Amino acid sequence: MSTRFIRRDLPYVILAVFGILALLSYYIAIPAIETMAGTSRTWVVVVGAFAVLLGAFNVVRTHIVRAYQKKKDYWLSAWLLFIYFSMIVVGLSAGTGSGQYKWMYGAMYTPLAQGVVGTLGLFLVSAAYRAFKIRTIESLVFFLGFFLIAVRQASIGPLLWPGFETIGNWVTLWPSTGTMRAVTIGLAIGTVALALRTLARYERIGLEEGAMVGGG
Amino acid sequence: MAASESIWDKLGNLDRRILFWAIVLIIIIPLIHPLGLPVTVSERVREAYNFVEKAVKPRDIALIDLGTGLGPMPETMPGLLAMTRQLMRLQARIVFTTGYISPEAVVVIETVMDQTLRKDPKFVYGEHYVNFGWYTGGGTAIRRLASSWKDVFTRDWYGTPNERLPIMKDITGADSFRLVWHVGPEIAWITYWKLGKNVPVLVTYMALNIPTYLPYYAAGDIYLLGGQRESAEYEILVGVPGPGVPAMDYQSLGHLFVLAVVVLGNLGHIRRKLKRGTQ
Repeated sequence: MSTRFIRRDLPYVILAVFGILALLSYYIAIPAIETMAGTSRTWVVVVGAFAVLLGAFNVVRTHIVRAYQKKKDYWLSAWLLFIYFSMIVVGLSAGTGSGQYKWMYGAMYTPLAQGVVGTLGLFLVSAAYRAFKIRTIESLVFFLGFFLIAVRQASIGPLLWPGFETIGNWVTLWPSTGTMRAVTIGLAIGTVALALRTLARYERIGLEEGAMVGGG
Repeated sequence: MAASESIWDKLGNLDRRILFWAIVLIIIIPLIHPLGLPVTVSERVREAYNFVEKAVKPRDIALIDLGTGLGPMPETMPGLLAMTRQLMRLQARIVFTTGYISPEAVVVIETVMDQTLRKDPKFVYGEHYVNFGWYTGGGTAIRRLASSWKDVFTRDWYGTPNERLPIMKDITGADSFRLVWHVGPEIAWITYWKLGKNVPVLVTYMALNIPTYLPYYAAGDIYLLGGQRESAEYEILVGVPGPGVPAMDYQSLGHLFVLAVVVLGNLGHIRRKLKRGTQ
């Protein structure tokens, strides 16, 4: 088999075979097809686990190279590797249910992870102040929607005026739901079209040189 | 030029550091000195609570799946704890899983078990609750769990084989579960478990992501708790104090502050527009 076939054609064959198998198992109740499709779904779980492992190796390799070559901010890479292996060593030696492992997560990782998300609140306030200008009717409508939902989601809203609850619920249940229903149906139809184009090889899936995922 | 600036112009051009400090204080002060703002229970939350109360019988199995990490936990953890406590009161058996691509979700599960199930000696690990931890494969794995649990999980998170977990005698796939409670953005639970196997699905996630679920809620496919407020409301219904209700104080003030900041930011803009109109 030529390298070209292995690199460019074989992935499409694999994709088409498993894609058609998944489609058939959904629409046709033949036990043999269902069994094959079920087995392929188990393979996805296994392949997914290997992909994560590959990602982990890539992180290590990238940061070892950065630290070794003393690239800009190389000490951050060294610190990442130190923390990375500390977690692995503690997890493997003491177990992921151990007090030490939980302490590392609870006292080190949790505050940092939630701090990063919390920091978004500061930027949101700053952005709301500087960028949210009511210049058009559309932006006014957007602001009114934001106002009603923000007040409704706060417990103080109904205390200030019970109508905030009623109007906030109305905005959620009707305009918001209607819009999201249209988005969801549109996405679903688009996904089906993309899947069929990919199966028929009208879409490139990032295997050819210069190709982009989903690019036509 | 600066001397000729009016108070409105100054309010429209505040240094962002002032805003940062203001929001920090608005959050910290109610934490130190709670205001005790009342929380009213909305219809959507009551529906979810009443459903669980009526549907779950002793020894039924409930699946709690985390599709998110630590970031959204201030919003979702109160509801997660309250739901676990409700299921414990109803003497249900609980299975935990996570499809979130980071081990941090497992730590959230550990935290929930520490604060609820492990405190009650009546609940024995492996018999009344089990943590299967992490699976990969997203929607495909969720579909596989529905048809054959053992094809995805052959052992629990701590390495105990399924055969040594008494609860596993009653788990084969989706049909073994009375309900699924998913915390996160994974629609596959609705597709494969609710629509495919008719297992009731409850969802909770950040308020920001709730519009994604609204069409499914409106169609009657799921029960839905959105954001910190509805987590706090669930806490009230379950009747066990937790972190949700006190958190509503600073959440309320924070929301009002952001609204005030948008108005402030528009003052200078509106004034300039009015000036241009009069010239």
